[in-house]
Amino acid sequence: MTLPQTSNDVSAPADTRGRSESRPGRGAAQAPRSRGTRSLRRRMMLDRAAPYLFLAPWLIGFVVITFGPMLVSLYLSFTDYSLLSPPEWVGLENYERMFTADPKYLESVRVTAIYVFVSVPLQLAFALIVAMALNRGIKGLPIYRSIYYIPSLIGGSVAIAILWRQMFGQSGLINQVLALVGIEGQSWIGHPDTALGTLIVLNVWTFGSPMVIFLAALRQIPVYLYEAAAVDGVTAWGRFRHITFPMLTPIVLFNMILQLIGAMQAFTPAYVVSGGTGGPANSTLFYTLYLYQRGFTGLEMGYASAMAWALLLVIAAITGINFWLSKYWVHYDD
Amino acid sequence: MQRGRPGRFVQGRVTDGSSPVTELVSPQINQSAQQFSTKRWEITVVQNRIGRAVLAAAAAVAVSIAMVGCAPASESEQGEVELRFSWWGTDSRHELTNEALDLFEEKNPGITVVRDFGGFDGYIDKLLTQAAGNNSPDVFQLYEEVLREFASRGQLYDLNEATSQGLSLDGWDQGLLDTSTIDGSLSALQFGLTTQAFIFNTELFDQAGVSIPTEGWSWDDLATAAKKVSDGTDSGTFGVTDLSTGYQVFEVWANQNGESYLTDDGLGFSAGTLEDFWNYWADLRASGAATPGSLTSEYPTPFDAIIASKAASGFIFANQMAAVQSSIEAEIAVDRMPGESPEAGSYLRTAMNIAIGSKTEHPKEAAMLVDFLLNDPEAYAILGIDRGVPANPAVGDAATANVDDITAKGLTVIDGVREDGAAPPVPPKPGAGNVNALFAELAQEVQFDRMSIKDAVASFIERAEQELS
Repeated sequence: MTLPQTSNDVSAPADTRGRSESRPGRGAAQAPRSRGTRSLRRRMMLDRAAPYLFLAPWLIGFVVITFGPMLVSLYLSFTDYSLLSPPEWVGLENYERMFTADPKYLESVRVTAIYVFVSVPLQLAFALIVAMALNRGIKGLPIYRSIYYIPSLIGGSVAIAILWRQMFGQSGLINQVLALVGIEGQSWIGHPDTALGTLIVLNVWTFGSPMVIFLAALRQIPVYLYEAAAVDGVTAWGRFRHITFPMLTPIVLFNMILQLIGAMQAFTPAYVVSGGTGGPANSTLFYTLYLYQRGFTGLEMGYASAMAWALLLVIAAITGINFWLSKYWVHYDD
Repeated sequence: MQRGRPGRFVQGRVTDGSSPVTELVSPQINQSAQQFSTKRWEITVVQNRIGRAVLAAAAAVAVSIAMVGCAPASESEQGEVELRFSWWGTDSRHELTNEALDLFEEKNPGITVVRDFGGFDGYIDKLLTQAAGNNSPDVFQLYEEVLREFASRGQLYDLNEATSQGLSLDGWDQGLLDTSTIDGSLSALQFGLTTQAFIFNTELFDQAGVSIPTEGWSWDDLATAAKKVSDGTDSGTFGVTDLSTGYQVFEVWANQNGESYLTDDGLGFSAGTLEDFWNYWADLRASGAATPGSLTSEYPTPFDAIIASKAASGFIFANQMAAVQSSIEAEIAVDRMPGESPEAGSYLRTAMNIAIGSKTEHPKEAAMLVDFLLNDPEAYAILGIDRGVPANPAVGDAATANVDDITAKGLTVIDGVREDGAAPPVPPKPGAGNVNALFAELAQEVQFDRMSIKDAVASFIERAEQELS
């Protein structure tokens, strides 16, 4: 593929000639010198534009499909909008209503908070433990790595959520296994005390993607640190506490932020497992699920947009706090 | 090849395109074509590459402009009319409907029906999004819970006007037309009627040695029979699905007590009625007659627990009989709701509506299509009672000519209700969707003993009134 820059010199004369042939009248009206610079300027402009043209497919997509709608939703969040008639400006009413007149909203915040702050630490701990186990130089590492990574790829899918329904149902696999040891289990997804727990387990199960990142980072830790520790007679726990974990902290931060953002926006598992209701008794009413219900069942797209922006602000705040806190515990190797 | 492809593209664009973007680009490309003819092909290749990048971007813009420009125009060049019809349903409904639409096109040359169909999940999301984008289908299926919302927001064409354009209302019951008349305009027509009913798994009742209740049975009869079935079958099987979360069941209960669930200006029942209803089911749960909470919420659709043989009886809409029977081996029996005397609570209910979008460009052809789908015996020879019993009695025979036994049983119930059922309620106010969800939510709080029945009822009434205001 020829880069646009190379085209500059060779094609410039051809361009000039082409123009003078095709539009003699216009060429005659201008001084010969200016004709040359004009054409050169044109070419330079085109060269400068070329990267943007290559970017265009993404850029148009971003502006039209992501950024534009985001701005519109910001506007809609200050309106009463039923989708069926034009939005009406209501100022901050939607935002006030969330915190003053909608107990179900606060319930969804509570459910989501539990989900995020229980499942993400568990998931990261699990990912780290498995990564460390795999890093001990076992045979067939690529195979294990792939096996553990698969849940990350499919964990957010509808198919897995349906599988979860089956496994944790009254006659599901979990209860059948429990029955073997004489325990009669209840329906895990059907009871408000355990339904959220099954979704947390589902999220922890998708530990593969942070694990792969941890695994790569573990291999970056210089061996001489461990050798020095061995000479000093440091215990395994001490090696983890004083070498492995500090060296991994940038990656822990990275994984944590990524997973927090993902978990706060989780939708599919709750939607499928509860049949779209967020039940039983609102125990799986994720924030985004409630937002969807308000938007499409209640036809309150203005309120739903306000909820979306509140979520965005919270995600930004939590991420910001994380970065700020990171200077107290994240160890950069410099 | 290098030359031919962009050249042809541009020619096509220049001849038909008036877009400023294509004009801006075309001299550039024409130029490179000329250069090619001077055999300085190295330069031309380079030129063409830049030209192509520009062209690609321009083409993308031009195509999107063209698409935007085309969207509202549904008339093709020959003066043929294109109608878009959206519906939800199962595969069998899609087959039947497509077949009927083929017949419509055959009978009405010059009209093409674009079929936009899918499952129920996501149907309303799509319809709402299309409405928001001023791109509603010409004709669409619509369910009762959102009818008033669509009508009051000016989304529906007044079908009274369609009567002068090919839609006939001969033989239609005035009461039915009244229920669909919102703000003086006939917003939709019933695309099928159904009613509330009760189904039984005969095998489980036999196993427990309990005879299946028959017409005239009471809620107490249900409690007794269900308890016996629970006791007489395996430990994981219960006599009846806990229906305390179902607002459709409570609606019947309220009607039987001379009240109603929702009226056109809010809640239509007293606190005591809902307390009785939830108390009734609490007793059935306590005695083991009804499914426990965790099992109930595992099966969000009432008959799912029956299909799974976890419950031996439960609530159903009569037109869904065949679907349930095809999913279970045991023979299914059907009857009216319990407690129908002295005052009946079940009513001939709209299974779904058909409406014309207010922004249609072809109201006349849309009216013809609606007329065909509602009043044409030949259409019903194909459609049958897949969408429920036709509202127009004139096509009833055509629709029910070839039904199987199980469907016929459902029809008997519908016929009974047609005779002495309660009056159908008016379409609910906007916000009803949220109220229905709230009903299930608070019933669950009661199911899991997280709230007393008194508190749950008070909370429901307070929050429901807020949603409906």
